[in-house]
Amino acid sequence: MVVHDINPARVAPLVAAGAIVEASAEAVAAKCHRTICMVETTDQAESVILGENGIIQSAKQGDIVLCMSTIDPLAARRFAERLGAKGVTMLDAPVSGGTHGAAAATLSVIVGGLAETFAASEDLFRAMGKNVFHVGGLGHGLAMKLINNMLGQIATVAIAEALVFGKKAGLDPHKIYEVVRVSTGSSVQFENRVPRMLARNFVPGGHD
Amino acid sequence: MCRGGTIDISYKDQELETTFAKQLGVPLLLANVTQQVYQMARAAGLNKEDGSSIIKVFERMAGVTIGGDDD
Repeated sequence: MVVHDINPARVAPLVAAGAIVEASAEAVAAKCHRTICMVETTDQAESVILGENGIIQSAKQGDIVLCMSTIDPLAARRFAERLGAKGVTMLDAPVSGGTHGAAAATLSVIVGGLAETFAASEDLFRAMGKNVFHVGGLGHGLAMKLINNMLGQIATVAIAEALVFGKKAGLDPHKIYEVVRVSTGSSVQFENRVPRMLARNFVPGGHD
Repeated sequence: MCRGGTIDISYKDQELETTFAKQLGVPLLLANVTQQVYQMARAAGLNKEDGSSIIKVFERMAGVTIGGDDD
């Protein structure tokens, strides 16, 4: 395995486990047939994949780029077109499950792109995730991820509104949790969010 | 499941959701309203807290607190 991060501390544990560290994404792709990019924003992904010292500079005909960030689906298609001109194929493969799921290798990996590229990459996804889905063409992994997240966010707001409404109506919020979680208003978000709200535990990063 | 993500990360995802829908010409009602609630949380300085802190936006509007010693 060959790794790179703009923050060397991030890759230190991998280097300790035997990974080779390189100074740029370009240098990583020069040594690898399959290169994973996982960053936070669309701009960062564009820089790592298409930038001056990016993957595209050294990727060779037949290589594969796995774009695992949650970014703009249309931008992902644009990255894939640019890579395609060099004979390099890309998959969009965003993940769900948080830092806890990543550490436990229980992530959901939601993949869009060519079936043959998916087949050639599936072993890497299975090393990270428990639920690996190939959902369609390029950009469809991202579309699916955004729809999943949208539902979770809407549910979170609805739950907060309902709890405060119930409190103003004189209900005990703990009783609201006890009743609703086994009734028709429950959901995965309800089960996850309400105990944290009741405990006033607002620490992010899967510390639940 | 977006358990454990910060308000800022969800807001970024919402920007992707709503931008993508605009590009497709699809109306998104609840996602846009929801993003504004997350923006209220950001305006209140909750950027780096877990998404569960959305409860504080509604608590402040209603003048009550959920959980804690009173409940």
